Amino acid sequence: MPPEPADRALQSASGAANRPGAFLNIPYDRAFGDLYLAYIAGITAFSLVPKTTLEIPGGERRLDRIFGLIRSCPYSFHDLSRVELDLRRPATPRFNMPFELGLAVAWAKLSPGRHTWFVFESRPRRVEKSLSDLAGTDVYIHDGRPAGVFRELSNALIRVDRQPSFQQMQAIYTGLKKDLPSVLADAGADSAFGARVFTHLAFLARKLAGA
Amino acid sequence: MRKPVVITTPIPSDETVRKMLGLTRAEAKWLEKLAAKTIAELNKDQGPKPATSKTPKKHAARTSGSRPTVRVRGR
Repeated sequence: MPPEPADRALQSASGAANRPGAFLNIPYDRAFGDLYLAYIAGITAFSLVPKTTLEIPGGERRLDRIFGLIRSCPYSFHDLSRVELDLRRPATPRFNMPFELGLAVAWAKLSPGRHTWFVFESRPRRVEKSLSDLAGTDVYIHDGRPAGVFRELSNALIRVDRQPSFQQMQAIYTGLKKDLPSVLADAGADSAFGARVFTHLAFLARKLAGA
Repeated sequence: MRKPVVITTPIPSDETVRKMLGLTRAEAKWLEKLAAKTIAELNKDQGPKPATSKTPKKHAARTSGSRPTVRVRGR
């Protein structure tokens, strides 16, 4: 009998500590474009491979796939800086990011040593209001700038053996910005937040890092 | 004092990353070429800086009474 989806996810998560995946939980909107590239550049500079829900195809049980993706990654980075209402009707806040953070926290609690999660924000102390359950957790404040993302990734990953310099992360970011129009044109896309564009940017970042 | 734990992460091979991201070999090859071109262009842009004139600049004559103000920022 084939294993249930949850069992398959568990199997794929075994040995996650040896895997280079880093789950990236960020807003998918144009205003976040520069920080999106900065996260891809910074995470790649640490020899990790960014993974997002953008890669999850439609038509499958999305929640199972998201949880499987988190479980396959030893690290996850959750940016909770987008707390404004999405004004498209009906105007609502977006709960996907805190929800996916909750999944990562639960997975880390249930499997000690296999998963480490980090929370990022653009403004200091705002998480204390927006998600007070995280009281006592270190939140990495990037000030809404790519340079802040590089700085805070370096702080979050201080225990990782390979430590890229700020200049190395900046160089990958500059290359990604330069190549984004070519990547978009190749994919026939007008947004960087699509599966094909994301995977191309992630691989491109690796090559720009000199790997 | 506890010794800080250093986490060793393996550097994945190109092939591992390509498969992780679900890219075809042709896509990977194209991206590799694009990156090589960009790196070359960025290095060229940085290039050697133009030679600066060796003639020392003359300092503007200071009129009497216009002593530079020293400002202390922060602490």
